[in-house]
Amino acid sequence: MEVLVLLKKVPDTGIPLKVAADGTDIDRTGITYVMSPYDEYALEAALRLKEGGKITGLSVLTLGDAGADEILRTALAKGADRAFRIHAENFELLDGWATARAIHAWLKDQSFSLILAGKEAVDDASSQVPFYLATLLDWPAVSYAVDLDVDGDRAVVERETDRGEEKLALPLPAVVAFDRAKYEPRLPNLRGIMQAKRKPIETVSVEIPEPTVKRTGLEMPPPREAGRVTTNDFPQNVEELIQFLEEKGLI
Amino acid sequence: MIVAFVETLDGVLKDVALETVSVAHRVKETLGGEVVAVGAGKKVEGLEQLGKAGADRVLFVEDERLEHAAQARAHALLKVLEGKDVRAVVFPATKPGKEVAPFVAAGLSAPMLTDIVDFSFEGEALVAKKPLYAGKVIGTFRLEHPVLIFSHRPKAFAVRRDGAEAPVETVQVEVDPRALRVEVLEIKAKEKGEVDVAEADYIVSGGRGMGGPENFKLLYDLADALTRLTGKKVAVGASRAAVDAGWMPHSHQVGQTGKVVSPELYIAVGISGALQHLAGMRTSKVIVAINKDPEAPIFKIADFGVVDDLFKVVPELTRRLKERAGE
Repeated sequence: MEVLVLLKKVPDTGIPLKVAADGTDIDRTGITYVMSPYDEYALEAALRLKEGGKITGLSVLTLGDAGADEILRTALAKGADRAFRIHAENFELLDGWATARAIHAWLKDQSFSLILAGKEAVDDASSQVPFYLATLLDWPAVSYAVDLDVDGDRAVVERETDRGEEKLALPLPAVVAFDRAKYEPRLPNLRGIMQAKRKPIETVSVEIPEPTVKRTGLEMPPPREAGRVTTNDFPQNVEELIQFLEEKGLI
Repeated sequence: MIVAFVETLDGVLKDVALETVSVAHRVKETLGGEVVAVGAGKKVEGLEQLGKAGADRVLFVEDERLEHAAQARAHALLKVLEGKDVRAVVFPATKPGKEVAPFVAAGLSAPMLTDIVDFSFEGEALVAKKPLYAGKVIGTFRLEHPVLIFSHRPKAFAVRRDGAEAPVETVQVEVDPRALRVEVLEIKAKEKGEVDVAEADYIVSGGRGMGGPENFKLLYDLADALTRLTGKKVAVGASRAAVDAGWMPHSHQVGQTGKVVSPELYIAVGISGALQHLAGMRTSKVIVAINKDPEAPIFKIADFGVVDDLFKVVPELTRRLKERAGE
């Protein structure tokens, strides 16, 4: 049974971002990129299934530019068997519907039984692609997984929703989107990194649909001015805080 | 018709539904037609109240089987909308909303926009603002399509309250068994009464400075005192550092890899203010920071800061608030 994990290249979340001078993009100077954190949890779940002998093959796919090969290489170093990249220079400007159709154009000729992804990428947090894909494939899908097992011909998903903890079963083939999992993603080890160098990354060309949702501008959020800071002694400072909350009509 | 998705959970109408209907009403001001609020799941009381926020009528598919899987709920919505002149479908960008919306969009073979915080129209094209990189940057997007589908950020839009009660119609749809492929094996419901950070009016959040899981009780006490004094929904949040340390569950995490929130009041306790945390709470209306480190970045965006030991300040603040609440 073959599993595919969808990965997206995003700017590292710890880095400050600003809009570039011409206003059409973020300033790319000094930005480092990572695999989107929720995708990393999905990959970790797949690696655990592989180690548990529940699946036979683990592939990863990204839709992105040549720079996205770096996250595929990381996934291979962690233990993925094969990596694919659908080439798209403008991948950050595509809407979920265009992205999903591009992935589907390749996917329809593959034979995966389970597709895992992050619940959303941390750049645009759109929460769309896994669910568009599931619909295009006519597969069952759920989001917010925190753990996953494969039991015969079904995926057993533990997830966290507003209701609480849920355990669900999905007949395979299925799509499962991950929230922060019960476990932390591993780091690649040296042996994995060496092995990854010999594993192939296959670049795939498919027609990339034009996005219908068009980005027309970028701006910085309105600045937030620092307010008052009290360094007065206790309990005078608590008194001042209470006065402040009163002035604002909050208590 | 302009459709507003009605968020319900196990037979309870969620407050956010009033916002979704209010947003749909704003869309109607440009596109015309009627605002129809549509929901599906277990039987819910009080749906007529959605009229006050601007719904002309409410359609609800009463079917318990639709309660758990977003795909099933989306399927029911699509059945209800079949053959109707739908110009827009509005969802809340909540956890359930973000799961149902893309299935509906996919069913209509339409693109969609997630989590918008403001919008206007250019002709019949939607021009919407949406935070990117958890709000480090704001993007403007243009969507021109026969059916405009989008989700709105909770608490980003004002709720209308000037309408009259709306007629509610319970509808039956034939559910395709393929939409019911997700089987529920087990549910462990959350303890009742705990407010989710995404739904809170006020948030009291703790970080590394809390020192350990046991000290979050101080924040629960403060949240409790605030609730009693103000009647607001107060949640306890946590920074990534506190969640990574295992002190609080991830469902409480505020930030780029947690929840992005905009409450009326955000009290950051023992939180230094890592970039990805600030991104998740900087749109809060009022920010208070309590931290003993005067150099903590959180003070740069706080409206009021207290530089002192949280273990002194928080219990005293709680005691004073309780006193005011008459205890």
